[in-house]
Amino acid sequence: MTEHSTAKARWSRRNLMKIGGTAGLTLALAGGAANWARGAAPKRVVVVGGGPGGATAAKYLRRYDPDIRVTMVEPQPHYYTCFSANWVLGGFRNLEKTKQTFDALRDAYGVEVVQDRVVDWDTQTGKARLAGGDTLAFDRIVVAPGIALRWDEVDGMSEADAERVPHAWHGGRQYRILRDQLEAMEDGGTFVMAAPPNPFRCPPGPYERLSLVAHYLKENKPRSKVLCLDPKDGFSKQGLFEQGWAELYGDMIEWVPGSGGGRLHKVDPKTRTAWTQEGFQKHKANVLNVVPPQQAGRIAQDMGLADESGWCPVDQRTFESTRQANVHVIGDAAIAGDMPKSGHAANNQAKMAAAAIAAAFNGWETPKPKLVNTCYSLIGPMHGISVAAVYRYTDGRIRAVADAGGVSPGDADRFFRIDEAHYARGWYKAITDDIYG
Amino acid sequence: MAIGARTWPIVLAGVLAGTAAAQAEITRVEVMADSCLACHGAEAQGPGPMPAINDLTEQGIVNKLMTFREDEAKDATLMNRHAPAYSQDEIRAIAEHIANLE
Repeated sequence: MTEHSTAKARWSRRNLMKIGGTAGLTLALAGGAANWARGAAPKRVVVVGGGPGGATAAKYLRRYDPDIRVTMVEPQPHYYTCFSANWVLGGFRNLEKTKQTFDALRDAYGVEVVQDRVVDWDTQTGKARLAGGDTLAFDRIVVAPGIALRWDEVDGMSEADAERVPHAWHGGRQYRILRDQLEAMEDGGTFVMAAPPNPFRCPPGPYERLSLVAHYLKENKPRSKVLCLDPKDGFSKQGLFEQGWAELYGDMIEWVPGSGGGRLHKVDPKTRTAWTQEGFQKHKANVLNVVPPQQAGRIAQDMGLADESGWCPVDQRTFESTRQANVHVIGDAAIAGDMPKSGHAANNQAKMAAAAIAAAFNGWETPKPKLVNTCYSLIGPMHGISVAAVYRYTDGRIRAVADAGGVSPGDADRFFRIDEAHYARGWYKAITDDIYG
Repeated sequence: MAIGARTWPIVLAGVLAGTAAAQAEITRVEVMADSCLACHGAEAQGPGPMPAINDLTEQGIVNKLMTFREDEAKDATLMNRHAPAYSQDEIRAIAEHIANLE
């Protein structure tokens, strides 16, 4: 049956590329020659961003069709994941374990990795301009810029204050800053977080952070307090988080919902003070973590891919922008129906976009999407919880499949929580292997 | 037929092309199975603790997924929330695909 041989061929090709650059080059040349001989159009894709969305798209474009020439443009030399970085704040994970390299993409998959920033592009001429001055030719562009933080919506601070009042909503350095501040804090101090409004990157993220900061403080500075000021009245996996907080941290964590006066009014970074209740309630923090409201990454705004919401509307089957032909937007920046903004979702959307592009290049039918999101959070180092969902594309939108998915059972025992804590670490190993390995 | 200037490149390409020239169409089954890799590893090799699934038989995968689908497995914490989203036909197709990967 054809299915067997195609699957084998796909995976053998990956192994063939692994043999060495020459083999890859030969295949690329052969592929190119075959294309040229057939009079076929060139297949060139520029991928904007080397995060979970962009890197997965780059890899899977090459997996689905090694004749596609892929150039991935990423300003940073490595990618530090945001997911699992809260574990660094908890004191049981090294920040370097969140660092991912592009070596396998380059060496095993033949992705051209360029350390630069895409400034703009022209879909008529098929040219993308880089900040460093180079130009790249493309037939399709995949835009995976992640998020931009809306500093204009935080009264009293700007991006320049993020060293003193870190957001740690991008990976790497910001987490080091926040971790250092927590380590320097005296026992009895207060960690205050201002959580973001919907929609934002990583719905359970702020609450995992509260949990693991509480873990670190309970172990090392037990008289300290954790306060969350939230514009929202609910959050992802809330029941499980609150159950875990009570079990592990007593009353150390206080969460103030929007209806209870949690909306952030103003910040003074110099004194690490946050006000709520229109300025009538003052909160003095020893460590202040403000996670601002968000929108699609800057390049998406600059190039007109975002709508009034600040996020990018796309054909939810192919992730092609509804505003620009041949431009696909994936990951946090995209409006993807019921899917949350998560690394796992970005990874899955990237595969769908890559499949759609490869299909378009080859005149195949675009496969109908089935998408998945799985999200693990650690409430403590040995207390894990998860949420799962499967999605189908129906009636023009990505919709969660009913009667499937859901959060971990509320009545699960300690051993279940321990198992999920192990699976959380396993998920990180597997997904970073899938994206960057 | 005389071999003219236009035919040589095709002949040459054919010699060089080898496996690269014929691309396999991407099926829905492949796309569904690829979503498993995010937890089971890029080659479904299971970096762990999520297990390897690339060394199971087709029937083994079907049995396991059906057990998850009926929420009768005690050895996983999340698969029983994924599996119900797939029909029996989809499960059989995914199992066949994964079992036949190299």
